Amino acid sequence: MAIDKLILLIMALPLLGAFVNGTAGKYLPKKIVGTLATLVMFAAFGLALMVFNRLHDTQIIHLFQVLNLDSITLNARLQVDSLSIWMTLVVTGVGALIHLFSMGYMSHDKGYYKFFTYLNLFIFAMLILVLGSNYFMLFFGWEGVGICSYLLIGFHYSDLEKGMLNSIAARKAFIMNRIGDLGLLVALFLILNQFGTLEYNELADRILVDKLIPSDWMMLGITLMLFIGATGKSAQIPLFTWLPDAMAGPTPVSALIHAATMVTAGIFLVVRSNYLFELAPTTQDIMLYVGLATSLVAAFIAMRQNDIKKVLAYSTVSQLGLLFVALGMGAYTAAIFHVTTHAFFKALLFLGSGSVIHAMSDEQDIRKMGGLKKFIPITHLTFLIGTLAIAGFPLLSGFYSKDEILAHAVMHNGVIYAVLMFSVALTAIYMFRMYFLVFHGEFRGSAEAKHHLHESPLNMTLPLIVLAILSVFGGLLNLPGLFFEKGTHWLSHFLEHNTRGLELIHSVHLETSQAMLLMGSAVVMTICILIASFVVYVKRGSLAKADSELTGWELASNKKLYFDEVYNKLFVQPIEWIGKMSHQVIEVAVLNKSISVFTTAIGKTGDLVRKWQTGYVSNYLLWMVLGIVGLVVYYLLKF
Amino acid sequence: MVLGSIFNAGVSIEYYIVLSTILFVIGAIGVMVRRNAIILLMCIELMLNAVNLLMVAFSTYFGKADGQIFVFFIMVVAAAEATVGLSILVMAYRNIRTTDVGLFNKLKG
Amino acid sequence: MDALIIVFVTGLISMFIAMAKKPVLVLATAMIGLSSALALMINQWWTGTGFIQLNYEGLLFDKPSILYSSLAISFVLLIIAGGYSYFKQEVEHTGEYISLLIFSLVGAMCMIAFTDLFMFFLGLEILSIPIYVMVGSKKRDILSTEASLKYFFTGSLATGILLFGTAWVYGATGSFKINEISAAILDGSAKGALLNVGILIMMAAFLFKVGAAPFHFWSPDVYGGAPTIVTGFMAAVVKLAGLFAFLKLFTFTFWGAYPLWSGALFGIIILTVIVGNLSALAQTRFKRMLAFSSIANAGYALIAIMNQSNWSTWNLWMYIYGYGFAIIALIIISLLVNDENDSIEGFRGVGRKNPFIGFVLTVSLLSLAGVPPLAGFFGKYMVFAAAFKQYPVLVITAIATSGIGMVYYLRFFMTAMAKEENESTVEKLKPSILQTIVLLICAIALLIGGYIAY
Repeated sequence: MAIDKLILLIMALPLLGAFVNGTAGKYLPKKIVGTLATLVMFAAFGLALMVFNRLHDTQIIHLFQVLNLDSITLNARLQVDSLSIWMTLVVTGVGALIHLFSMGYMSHDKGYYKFFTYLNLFIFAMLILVLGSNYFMLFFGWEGVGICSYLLIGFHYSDLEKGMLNSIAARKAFIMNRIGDLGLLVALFLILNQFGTLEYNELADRILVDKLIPSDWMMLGITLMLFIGATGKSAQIPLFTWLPDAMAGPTPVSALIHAATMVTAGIFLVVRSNYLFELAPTTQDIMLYVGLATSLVAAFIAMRQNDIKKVLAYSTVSQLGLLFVALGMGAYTAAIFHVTTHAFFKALLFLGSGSVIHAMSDEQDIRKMGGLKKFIPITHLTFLIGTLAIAGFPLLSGFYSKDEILAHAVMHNGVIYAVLMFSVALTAIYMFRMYFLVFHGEFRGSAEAKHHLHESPLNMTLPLIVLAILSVFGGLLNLPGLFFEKGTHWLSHFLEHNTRGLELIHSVHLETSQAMLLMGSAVVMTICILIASFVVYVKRGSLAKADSELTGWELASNKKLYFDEVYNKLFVQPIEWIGKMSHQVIEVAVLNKSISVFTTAIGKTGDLVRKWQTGYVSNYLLWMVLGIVGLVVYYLLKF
Repeated sequence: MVLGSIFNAGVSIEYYIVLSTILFVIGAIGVMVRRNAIILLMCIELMLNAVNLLMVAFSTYFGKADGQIFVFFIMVVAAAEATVGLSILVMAYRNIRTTDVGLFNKLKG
Repeated sequence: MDALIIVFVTGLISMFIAMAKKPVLVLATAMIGLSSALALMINQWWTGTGFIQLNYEGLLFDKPSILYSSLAISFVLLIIAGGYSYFKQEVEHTGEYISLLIFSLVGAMCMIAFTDLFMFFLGLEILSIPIYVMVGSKKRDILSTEASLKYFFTGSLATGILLFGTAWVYGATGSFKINEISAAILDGSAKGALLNVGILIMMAAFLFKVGAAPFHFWSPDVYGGAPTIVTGFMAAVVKLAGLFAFLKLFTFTFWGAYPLWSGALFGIIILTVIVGNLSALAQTRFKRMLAFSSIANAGYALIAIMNQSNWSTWNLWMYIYGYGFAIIALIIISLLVNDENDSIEGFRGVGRKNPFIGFVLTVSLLSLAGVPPLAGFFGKYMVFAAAFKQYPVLVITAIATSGIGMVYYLRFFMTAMAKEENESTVEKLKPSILQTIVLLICAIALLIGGYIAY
């Protein structure tokens, strides 16, 4: 099959799954629902691999025309190039594993078919996002994943205890995303206004070939607005607070949407528009510092979180910050590399945490866990690999991808490097803290919980194992030149090969000695932290403190630096006040009054007119004749 | 032929128009003021006959046959209408034992 | 022409089959006959000629006539299919009901395709006389009788008026053929009181048929008293035929006398939309509300006739399309609800009892209220937009009053969607398969209306 057919099939499969499960899922047994949803994902992944093997040049697949006006033409088109097929592989691959995991994890849920419908729909939207050939398609997918995310965060909306909270979290995510979407929309309109097209290729031609470059201010505006869109979806300051709350959704959702795929949409957007960003250095700087701040703040907050998923959520935010730092420095391929490895180990960690939560009968507080390693050995082992990978332990995937970003930072600015190193160190600290608290020491939960502890079934542990393997070896995709002369930086070359704009940005690599030094320091740091954490949490057996005992920085970290409170005071309450006032003044006092007067008047006339309808046929005949008389009189008067 | 000679004798078409209009208005007034359904039916027949008169007059005036053909159609249709109308009357009479249309005023407002 | 013959023969056959007392057979005959008539119409639209070449100068199925006839046939098909379960309740008369509907459709088609006033008059009578009978078909029901009586007398008077006007126009122009009349008016050979009064008197009869104020009084009573299915037929098919004949006769034939009748029509439209909407506001019964709403809708449709443009035919068609399907859907839903008093309250909770019906109800009501992207919106929009330049006052009045219209449509909607307070009001709400299909077709037709308009 030709590539275009394959791509269409890849897109159609998740949609088919969503359609079947969405319409008939209620009446099908759970086995079929889950198997169907998972199978279409594996099939899509297999097809994506086939496309990946055959892809040489950028391919555009025209589907249909959406809008054709004098000024604008919008097309539903797909574009297959290195970047989009790579993202497709990540989305379908990780997605397939998470679907498999969900079959076990959600097996007791009565909304089983709904869950898989949403999940498949999400994959479909995400594929549109990455495979679209223009910003219009991207926006379509962007909103599609947004709505799926909303539905899945609030999935347990009818839960007796937490239903309301889940709904609020979903709403928060939706609203925060809308703010970002507004930025994206403005950027789209600006692009349309300046370049007259939303197609990536045409846009790239205008800029890279024809050199039709608008003023600096315009470029700043466009890129800044694009970046605002990215901050919404990829949870950067100031719009990051929705992501930790989004953990209200089922754990596989957190793994798939809120860690591995959807939140990297912002990264994808920036990489896709790299030639725009290269023309706006100010935006790049803003991106860099926002990313840096996000990375630090989130890592700091993660230090004293006690909910296993919250820790991972803040770690995701922190990693996304790191990615934006990379983008701000122009290290696009390094960012995609880290997106990939991050997808592996963060999905692994989330699924691992899901397995833990499953074992603990829905308990998420790490203070009530401990010593789990002998109860759930596979989960423990894979979780350990994930932790090591994210902490940057030597030779695991995270080590290479982080190191590449750090290397760029060194070349960019020493201070940034130092701050990044600090953030990386914090990451290692909170990850080891969590790992040791969960898996080592004594079990701190109730006896009943202990009784229920069990390893997850195969369909849950299998994805863990696969992801653990990927987390270990994922780094080989973009092995630094340090180790071999040839075959290194494979992913960078692959992406640069046919992604517009990237070929112009040659990644500069450090001198071998400098690189060795960097890696060495990172290794030393990680190992020191590992040993220190081991000593603190295992040897000395110190435990996470109760909320009331926290003081100083620990309290600030635990309270998430009061972001939510400040936003509440700053935005939510004033807006609610305005709403209340306008309700009281405009609606009740002005609108309602005037309308009620008006309606009463109309009602009265209606009654009056109604009396005309007497019910006597003679009257009707009379009126008819009078009507004719009236017409004749009209004629006599007028003519 | 006879009509033609009347025209020639000086009875102009205007007289026919006035006559049939008078007949029509008489019928219309009857329809408005009478309450007996049968009389109403008769008044309507009177109006139709006024039309017939006018049609025939014009037909002769133009020397074309189509007006007179139309009159036949009107007669046929009037007969059909009267049939249906009378059956409705019978039905109404069976239901409330009267042909006074003023008593049919359940539907109003 | 062949379609007309097929429809007529279908009527005859179903009447005779009815003697076998097997309603299903009658239904099947009617459906097959009407469907093939529809197919013939569509064929004639594409090929330009029918299978049977019959040249009769009184009738001409040109493209607009085909368009309107097809719509009329579709409406009747839907009404028969949707109302079948109602007809079946009286096994003895199923055939008569259906064949009367079909004969009436024959009249409507004559009214659509006429080229001289002969055929027009005959069509009008063929349309009307079966309706007099159908309105009174609930023989023991006093309301039905009363409605029939009222319709008969007002209708007969209207016939008289029409004929009187026709005679005057004939006197002025010397012909019954509409192209000759049109030519005579345009070249000035026909003028004066004879022509002008004749036109105005004819207009009065037309206004009666479409139910415009002050000739509308019959319609709430007749709609209210007639069996529901007949109400639907009157609201959809009779309005369609009346409006198109109006358009053909006035906008095109009496084109030369435009200043005369347009001035009168202007006032009548304003009166109609105001009276129709205001009266509908105060109604508590469904069919009466529908009647007043159809009066108001006739007022809006007349704007298309006022407007002299090549697009009038198409605009009016689109308007009737949106209006007719919505009315038929509502009528069938009211058949299902089957409230004895026909009160709007009887619809309480319908939407919740059966979500599908709720959906169709929503679509129809919103379409009637003119909410985009439904067909009703496009009809209104096209009619109003075309006339706005020439008659801004008229269009603004129409839009303002359709705002009032919004109130009663939405109020009805709220009632139908409300949570039921007592379970018993809406007990049985099981549409038959045929009815489900009909409702589905109506909903789809309303949803894709914008696409057709485009």
